[in-house]
Amino acid sequence: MPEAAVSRAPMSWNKTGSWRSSTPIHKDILPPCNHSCPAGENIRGYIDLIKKNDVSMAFELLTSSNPLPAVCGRVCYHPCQANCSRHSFDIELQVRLIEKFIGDWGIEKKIAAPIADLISKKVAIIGSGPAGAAAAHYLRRMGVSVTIYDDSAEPGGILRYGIPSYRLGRDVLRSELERVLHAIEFKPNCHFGSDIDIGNLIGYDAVFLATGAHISRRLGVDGEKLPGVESGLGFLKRVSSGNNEKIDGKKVIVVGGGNTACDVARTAYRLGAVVTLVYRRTENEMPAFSEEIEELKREPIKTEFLAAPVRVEKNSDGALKTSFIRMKLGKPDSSGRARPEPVKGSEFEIMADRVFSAIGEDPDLSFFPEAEQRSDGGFDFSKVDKRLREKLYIGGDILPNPRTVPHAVGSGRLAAEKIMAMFEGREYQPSQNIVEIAGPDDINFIYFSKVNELKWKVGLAPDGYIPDARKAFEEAGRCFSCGVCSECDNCYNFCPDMSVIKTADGYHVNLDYCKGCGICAQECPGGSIKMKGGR
Amino acid sequence: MTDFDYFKYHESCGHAACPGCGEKILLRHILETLGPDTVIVAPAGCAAVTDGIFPHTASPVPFLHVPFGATSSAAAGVRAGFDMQGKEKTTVLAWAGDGATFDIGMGALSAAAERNENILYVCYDNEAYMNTGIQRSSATPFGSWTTTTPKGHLKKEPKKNIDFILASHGIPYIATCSPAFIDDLKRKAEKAKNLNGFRFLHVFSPCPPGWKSDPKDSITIARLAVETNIFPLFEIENGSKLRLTYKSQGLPVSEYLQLQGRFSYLKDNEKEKIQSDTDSLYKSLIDRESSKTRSKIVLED
Amino acid sequence: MKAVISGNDAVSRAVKLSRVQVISAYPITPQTTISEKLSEICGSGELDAKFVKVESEHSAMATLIGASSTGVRTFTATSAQGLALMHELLFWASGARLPIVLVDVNRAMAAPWTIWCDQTDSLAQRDTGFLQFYCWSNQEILDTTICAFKIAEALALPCMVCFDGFFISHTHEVVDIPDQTEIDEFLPPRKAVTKLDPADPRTFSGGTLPDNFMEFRYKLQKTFERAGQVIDDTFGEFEKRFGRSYKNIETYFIDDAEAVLLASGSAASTVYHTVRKRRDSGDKIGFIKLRQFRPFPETELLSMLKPGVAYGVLDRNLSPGTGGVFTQEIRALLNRNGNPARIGEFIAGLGGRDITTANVERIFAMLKDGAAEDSEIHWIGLKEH
Repeated sequence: MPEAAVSRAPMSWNKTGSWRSSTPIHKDILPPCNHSCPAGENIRGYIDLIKKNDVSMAFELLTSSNPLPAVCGRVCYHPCQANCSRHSFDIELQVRLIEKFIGDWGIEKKIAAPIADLISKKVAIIGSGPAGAAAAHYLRRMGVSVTIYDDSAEPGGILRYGIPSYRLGRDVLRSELERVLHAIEFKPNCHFGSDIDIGNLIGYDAVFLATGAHISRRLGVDGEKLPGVESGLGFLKRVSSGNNEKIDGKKVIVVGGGNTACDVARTAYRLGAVVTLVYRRTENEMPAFSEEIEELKREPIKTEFLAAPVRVEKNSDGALKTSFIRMKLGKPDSSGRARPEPVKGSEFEIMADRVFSAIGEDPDLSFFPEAEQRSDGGFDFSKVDKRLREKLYIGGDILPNPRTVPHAVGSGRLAAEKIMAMFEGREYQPSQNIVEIAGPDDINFIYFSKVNELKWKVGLAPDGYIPDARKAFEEAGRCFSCGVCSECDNCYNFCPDMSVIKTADGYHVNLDYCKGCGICAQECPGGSIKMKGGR
Repeated sequence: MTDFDYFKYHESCGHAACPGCGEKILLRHILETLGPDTVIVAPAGCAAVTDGIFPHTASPVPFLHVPFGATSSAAAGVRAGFDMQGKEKTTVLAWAGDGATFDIGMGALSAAAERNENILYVCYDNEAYMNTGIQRSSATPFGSWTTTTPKGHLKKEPKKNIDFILASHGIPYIATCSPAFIDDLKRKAEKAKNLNGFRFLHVFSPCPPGWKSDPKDSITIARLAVETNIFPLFEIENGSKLRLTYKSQGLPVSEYLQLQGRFSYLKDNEKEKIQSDTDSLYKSLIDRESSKTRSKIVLED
Repeated sequence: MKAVISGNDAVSRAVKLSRVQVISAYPITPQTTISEKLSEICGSGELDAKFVKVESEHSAMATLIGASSTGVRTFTATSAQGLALMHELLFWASGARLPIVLVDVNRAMAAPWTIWCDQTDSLAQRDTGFLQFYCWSNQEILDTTICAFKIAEALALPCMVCFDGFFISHTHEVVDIPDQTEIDEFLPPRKAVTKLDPADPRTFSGGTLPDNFMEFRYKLQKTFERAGQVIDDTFGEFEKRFGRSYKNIETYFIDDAEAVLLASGSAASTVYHTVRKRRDSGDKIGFIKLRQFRPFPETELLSMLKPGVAYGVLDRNLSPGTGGVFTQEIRALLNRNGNPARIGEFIAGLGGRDITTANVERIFAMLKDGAAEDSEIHWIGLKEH
């Protein structure tokens, strides 16, 4: 012992970790954008890369899940934006702006989709819409030889023939599909029965059916077979094939409330028609994307809510007299929406030159009439020819999924993964197990500054904004990086006990000294540290 | 990613501070900025006690415990001793709480400032005598509960404005710092390190047991203190040139007060008083920043 | 070389010769001319030292605690109120084993205010762990102060050198001032064993638990127990070099004395003068000069004091409720060693009241009359009250 109290030994024996009653865990959890993306994009990941100005890596990351970013940047309804945690703070991140920027960049740089050397497997894909294109892309990436059969003249399916060109420009679609399908055999104008049948398909190692849902439902009223009473989707297809519909100045009724009905109404308007959209429930129950509805309302398209057609008659002058009955909202039906009930004695008439029905579409299963529809809306293929049954996969709008482009893309990629698993003789394993999803409650808002308005807040239509690198970079800068460590060093800097250490694998907590104060978890801007009870 | 040295990790681990202690965050970042050629002079208080018990110490630099009230003078003595041995470059860091600085050591502090002693004095302000169990000091803000300003007799005096008092001494550098603003803190520590004369850093030190706050809120509270203008970040050079170093959001003080149990006895009119006093003090800072007519007292080295 | 200087001047000369490196002091009557002179020689560079001009005595000692911890030689001077203000830090200096040298110019403690001399101020600090010496001449002040540095540094203990305010501090006497080179040989620079050094970080005076505090106090006590030898050796070496001898107790005419008076400070010289004169007339009286108080010169006193002689202690101090401090200490010493010698207690000269030869003769008369046998406090020179 020294003469005076001079201390030299450290205090490191004092393992204050024993004081803890809860422990910080650094764990990346799923950001809400990633979770909500039907195509399974790592949205946070590519936004982070844009933040770091690495467009090339961002493109690679995005297209590893979705090969059609230029398309989706224009037509996807972007649930990622609605679920974006930033929505509770100021304005949700304009992911579509960033996706469109990345997609357009890929087109500008003419980035051909990556392909592997051919392995001895071949797959037939029926339908070249988003599901078929995505499946074809991912299979070819793995070296599978792919042939796409489509009954139309050009690839794209609903992208080419359903979604109007004012929403998805033909040039962009063509360029993106060229980029994606460059090493894939495309057989257009193949009709089932005449150009291709089951016999052709049996020779393939797998078949992916993605024929979509474009069989319009009938109105189910007298007069529905009169000339001029047509399928709305058929109208769109003819218009996009270059047909002159001659409806300039004519009166047009569109029956329905979904995206197709809106597309038909807006396309007819653009061709010079005077359009009335009639829907049996109110605007609140319309299944169309809300942005679609907003844009519809901005155009001089008349809307009639709570009305349903009862009959169509031809007038002496050739016009179609369409009778409607008023509806009122009753109890909810199986979809959860209020069941519309007719109001007795409330019939009224609208005169029109054309009546387009857009009240829903059914999947095209002409290839497999033996397929049976299930109660969940899906199909049972167990009665299909057994030579094909085990290697038949389906995707896109045939599935009982929401009918959106990203859902279709996601189902195409999923089918490709399942097919590869089958080829490799293994069980298909989903790539991620969702345990925890981040949300606004995980974000420490104090680390972010609110914007009061966004100059580049955009709707669905590509008109009016041209995302450039600067806007994309600035917008990416607003990303909270929900649930994922952004290496901001807050935990490292703010720990009073020097218990957060930086290692090659990320941040590590020194449990010998961590007293469980919880500052690190609180100050993590993105919520990738959580306090778990116990030591 | 690199691990940190803090003058060799295990020399400084295992201190006995409470979970969520603001002082230890401040000590680490300031010492990292000053470097190992530093000697700490510390009086009785949280920092000294939590450093460890003989024969152990969590200080990676020489640490001289001194009696309460003696900090400034002892630091001046260390400075004199080092200067006589050619160690003029070694930083003498006085590390004292608000009790030791605002109260019992006030006389010595003023004297050391007046003599422009070449030391760096850091006052970690947890706004009461925390080490002895939360008794009021002259740094305790208006309306705060402490054991000597209990419910019904909350502190009625405002917080002593140590920064302006020292500014009147004309010392080369005064700065307020918050552990929630690490870059600002380190910049000010670096600036102070490279100046001569009496330099004073007034650093805001959240104390969960004393403030009756959740340990996890310490940084949040430190940030809100700045954003509500309760503890604005500024520096004063040569006692006259004041510069705000952070543009706060001017959030309502209630956001800051509601996280701390020590303010839970306030009546509405008292909260309003806190808001209006904060506003007028902040305004006086703004005015002083833009004032060109302040007289200067410049101390010679 | 010889010079006619005051007691305070002797201090400044000693400080300069001892090459003190850091000084911190606060003026107080009658110490002030020490501060002033030291300011001059530090300012002019005559002494290469830093003089920190603090705002209080508490800060003066605090400054020296800081400076001494870095390994330099340190010094301060004060009196009465100033010394009392340093009280908590005196304990600190000794507990931290810092060889600080403090000169106390003895002055009575207020209230009521007084600037005049008594020894209560330094004696009241007897529990603080400082070595204590009491000087009766300016030569002794010079020599003792220089030796104080050597002793303090050898023992790692702080040391207090005391002398009467005004009576000694402001009186000019002939003093033989040694050469710097001679002193440099006698007193080399301080070599601190442990000190503040960024190259070898340590923590000083950190918290202790009941587990180890007592051992530090034990070590301190043991150091005081061996201090006597170190002190004797130091003054022995001083005597060899400079020819002047200092013992912890000095005795005059005690061999056949019937009454002996023990005293310290300026009063001691009055006693000495009185005894010497009366011896010329054949009066069998003697005088013991007390110059070392801490550590108390126990062995020497014990062997010196014997029954049958009327001893008296002249206390120029008061510990209220008990009496004179020197009396207390001596009586306790005798008692615990079973020495039956009797001590008469005489309090005089408080607050600067003159102690005259008449007072001293009166004390001897009382002693011969049996004053040593009773246990009363004999107040000498008290006026009507």
